[in-house]
Amino acid sequence: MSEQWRLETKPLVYEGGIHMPYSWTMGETGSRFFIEFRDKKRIMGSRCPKCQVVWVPARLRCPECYIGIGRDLWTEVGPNGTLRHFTVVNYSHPAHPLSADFAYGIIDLDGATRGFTHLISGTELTALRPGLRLKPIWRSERQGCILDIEYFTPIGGQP
Amino acid sequence: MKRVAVIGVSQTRFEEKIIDRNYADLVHEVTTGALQDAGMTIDQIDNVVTVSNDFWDGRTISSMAVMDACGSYGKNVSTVEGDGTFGVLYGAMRIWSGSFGTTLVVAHSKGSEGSPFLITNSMFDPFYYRPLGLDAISSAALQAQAYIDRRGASVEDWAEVSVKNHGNAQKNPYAQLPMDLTVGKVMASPMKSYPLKRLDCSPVSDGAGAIILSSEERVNQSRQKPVWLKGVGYAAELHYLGDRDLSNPIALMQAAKKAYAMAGIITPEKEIDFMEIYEAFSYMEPLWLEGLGICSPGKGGKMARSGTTGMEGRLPVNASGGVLSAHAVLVAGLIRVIEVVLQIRRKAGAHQLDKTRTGLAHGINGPCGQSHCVWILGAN
Repeated sequence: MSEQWRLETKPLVYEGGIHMPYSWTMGETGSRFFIEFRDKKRIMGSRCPKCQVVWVPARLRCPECYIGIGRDLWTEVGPNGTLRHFTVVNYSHPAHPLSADFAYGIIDLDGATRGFTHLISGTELTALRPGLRLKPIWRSERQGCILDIEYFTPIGGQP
Repeated sequence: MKRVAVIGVSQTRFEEKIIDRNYADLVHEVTTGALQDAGMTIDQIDNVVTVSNDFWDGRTISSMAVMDACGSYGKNVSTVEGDGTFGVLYGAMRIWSGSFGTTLVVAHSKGSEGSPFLITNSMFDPFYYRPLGLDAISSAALQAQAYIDRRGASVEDWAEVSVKNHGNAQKNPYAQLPMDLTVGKVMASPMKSYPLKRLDCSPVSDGAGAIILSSEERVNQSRQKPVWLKGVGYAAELHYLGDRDLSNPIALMQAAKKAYAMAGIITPEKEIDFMEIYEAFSYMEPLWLEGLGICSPGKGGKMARSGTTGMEGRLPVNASGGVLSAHAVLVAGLIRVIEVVLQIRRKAGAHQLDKTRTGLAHGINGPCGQSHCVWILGAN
């Protein structure tokens, strides 16, 4: 159908875009979690009273048992942890908080049962291995968001 | 339960960038294509299910933009924002419920028009994951590494999958990336996000697909022999990557179990003749085969390497070239169903398989296969 059309005219493309600001309310659980980040440099998890799993970030309810987790069952985890899985990213995008190459890791924070996902940098990335011990690098100016931790890096610098 | 069959199918050719048709044009093309395939008219379609995503289309209520194109004027029409296999599920449920006799399910996506990075980054929650800059590729790379760490998977085995599927695509005129590859070529392709290289990753394609579902009473309206929906299962797991064991696709195991039970399948590796599964990345094919119970954990990599899943193998997987060779997001799961239908009808063309009595089609939704939908289709 399109062959003749193509001969007769050039397909037009409209260059548009959507720039849509949002103000996402974090709610009580998210606010409490990130206020601990901002004010005390503490990472909070929550222990399910039924399955005893320590979830991080802290949750209002256990996602698996679907029962509420009270504030009394919040517990500080980490801030250090052990690298579970990682990837080294070789491509760049303006929305990346760090310039490539950098890594993402799923980190088992000390005292938590489930993993915490964050950036890894400040080290030789080819030396990353599961089991590596990591610590967070906190920003000096913190806003109460996930990037108050700039990234995680091996304890003792180069592994 | 009432029996439901697929009685008409159509797909576009998948391309990196389709510039002579907008996405409504693609929907029109496959809607009329499915009607033609069935020898039916739009009057014989009782209701329509569209499959689309607002972020990929760049407008809200993206389904409304294709309402005219899918012939839904005056009909009940509803939308699935998710993979096309779930669109088939919704469409089939509308017949199983007795509400409708026929359903048109149509999916479209033009990945070339938006930013795949920003759109897939937006699938993550805005507080804990999205600001990290994760996208489809980097999150999949974490799953790929988990597969290595926990199940001893090998990147060379994944390269075999890429070689096989791009090779199969050479026989499929609808595929975007037919390629004659070697394991060495895949291994030498540029690293995207360790351990995933470029040829481990699917493209993001433009294209559309449509199927017509029918109740048993109405199958004779089509000139095609019906292909029956024998079983279906679907399940989801948690959203946060850290909450999950990424090497253990539990939602797929649950979905497969339900689909096999409904279809009366006891030993899937023997009773299913061929499969079309959603491998957006090479490692997904062996990992999903493990989740589907076709082989034990950690053994998925052997399936392509040994030739078992090749065109001539005991259990051909992705004879069409799979998602690695054409990946219109959301559409790709519907294409898995369409390819299974074409194989069972013996109308797959150059990539027609020998044994196609019972086939499996599979789709995923969400990061790293957060949810899965498994279909069993058969000739009788």
